Amino acid sequence: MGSPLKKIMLCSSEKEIFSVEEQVMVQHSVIINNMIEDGSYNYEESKIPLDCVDSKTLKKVIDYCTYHTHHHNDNQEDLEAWDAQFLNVDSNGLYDLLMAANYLEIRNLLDLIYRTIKNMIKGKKIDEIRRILNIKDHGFTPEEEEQNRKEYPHFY
Amino acid sequence: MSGGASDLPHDLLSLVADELGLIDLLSFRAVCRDWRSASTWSTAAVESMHGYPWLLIYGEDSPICILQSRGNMGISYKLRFEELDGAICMASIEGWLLLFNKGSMFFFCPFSRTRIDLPNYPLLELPESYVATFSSAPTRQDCIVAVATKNNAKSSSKLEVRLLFRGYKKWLEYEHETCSGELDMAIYHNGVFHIFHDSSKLLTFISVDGEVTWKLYLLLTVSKGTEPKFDESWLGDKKPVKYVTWKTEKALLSFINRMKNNFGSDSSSITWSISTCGTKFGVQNDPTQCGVIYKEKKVFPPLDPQEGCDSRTCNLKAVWIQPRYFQVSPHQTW
Repeated sequence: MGSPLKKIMLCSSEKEIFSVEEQVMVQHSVIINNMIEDGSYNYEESKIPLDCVDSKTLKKVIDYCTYHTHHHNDNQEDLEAWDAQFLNVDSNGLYDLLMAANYLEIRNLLDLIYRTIKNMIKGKKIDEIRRILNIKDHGFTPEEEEQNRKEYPHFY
Repeated sequence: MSGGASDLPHDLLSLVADELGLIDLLSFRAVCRDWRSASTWSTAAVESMHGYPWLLIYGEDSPICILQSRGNMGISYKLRFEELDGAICMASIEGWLLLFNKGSMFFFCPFSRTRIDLPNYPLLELPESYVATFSSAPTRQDCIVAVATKNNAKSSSKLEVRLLFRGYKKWLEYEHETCSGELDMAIYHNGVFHIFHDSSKLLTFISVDGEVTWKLYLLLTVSKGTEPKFDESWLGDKKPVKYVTWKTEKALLSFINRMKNNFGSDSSSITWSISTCGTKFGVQNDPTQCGVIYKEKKVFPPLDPQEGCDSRTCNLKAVWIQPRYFQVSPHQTW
């Protein structure tokens, strides 16, 4: 566990520096926890480079970790409401968050995103899923797509 | 950064796919090519293991089928399976169907549309009384198919059993003389084949190196929905499976009522009959038990038969099936 007062620096793909309470990131990110524990992070000089996370996404990730660190005693309903509001982003924003959460190994954020994607798909017609998740090129040949539509007429 | 849905790494996509139920998984696989390849090994296992089998109604002379999900509370889907056109479903285990069509026998997983052909069955037609089962998914090396038939169910007690081992080209044939009455259901459990027959009897056999050993048991209660007990005095060293039967009336009735609604006012004079192929399924929280749905034929007479009106009969065929998906190589052979 990191000290609550210590700060660490995270560097986005645009080289923007974010200063975050160490405890916030250590509690949520397996990767950062490991770096702190094995001493590879130098508090005077180190910035953790996150080349595959842009500033907008990194800010969201930090928001998530900060909120969940300081509100973990809130009741479940309030947390779920906050999470729902937090993930009220377009599909591209959701993918970026998923990639970032995966890279930083933030287990509960990953689970939240999986659940959200699953709920976006559940019970939906295929055309609707494509629209919601902004999939413009399905990559099937016209013949394959026609075959699919013939075999599963109710799914489109 | 945003590359969109199709740029998500496959391992992340497959984590989503693994959590989906059958219908959502089938939709997932048709959304785009990337999602399809990411979900190659997803099986909808979560849904399949925690629920009762679904009902698949297949046509006599048509590839159009109706899939009713989640027993009697389910939703109906219309699907098209050329393989089921004119075929008879003989057995259903873990999402695989054993089908018979004019002498040719094959495995079919309808949801992945995988077909595995078997060596020709020795008979072109099935006798009036038959049951069949198989020991495991047909992709497994130790899979055995068993077909039990009786030429004259009522008057004869001679049973013919044909076994086909994985990789074999030829069916092995056996006979047994003490199997009376109609054949109700066949299952395989823990190395033992079970043939439920004559409403209250169980004939079991095991096959070791081509030699078949038989054992007959009496069932003490067989009313549907209760747990039948074996007459202990008949028990040998190898116990038959503990099993529970499942009431199907409600689910079948709810399906027939839906069909009636589709037919409108015309339906009141129709007699509906539905012949279903049974299945075996896992019982929640108890791996030592299994659930069994018998093969059966249910007739639903019209509620208000009208004088002078033509009484028509609508015969349906159906199979209880577990909502499992299996991707198998197109080159898979028996």
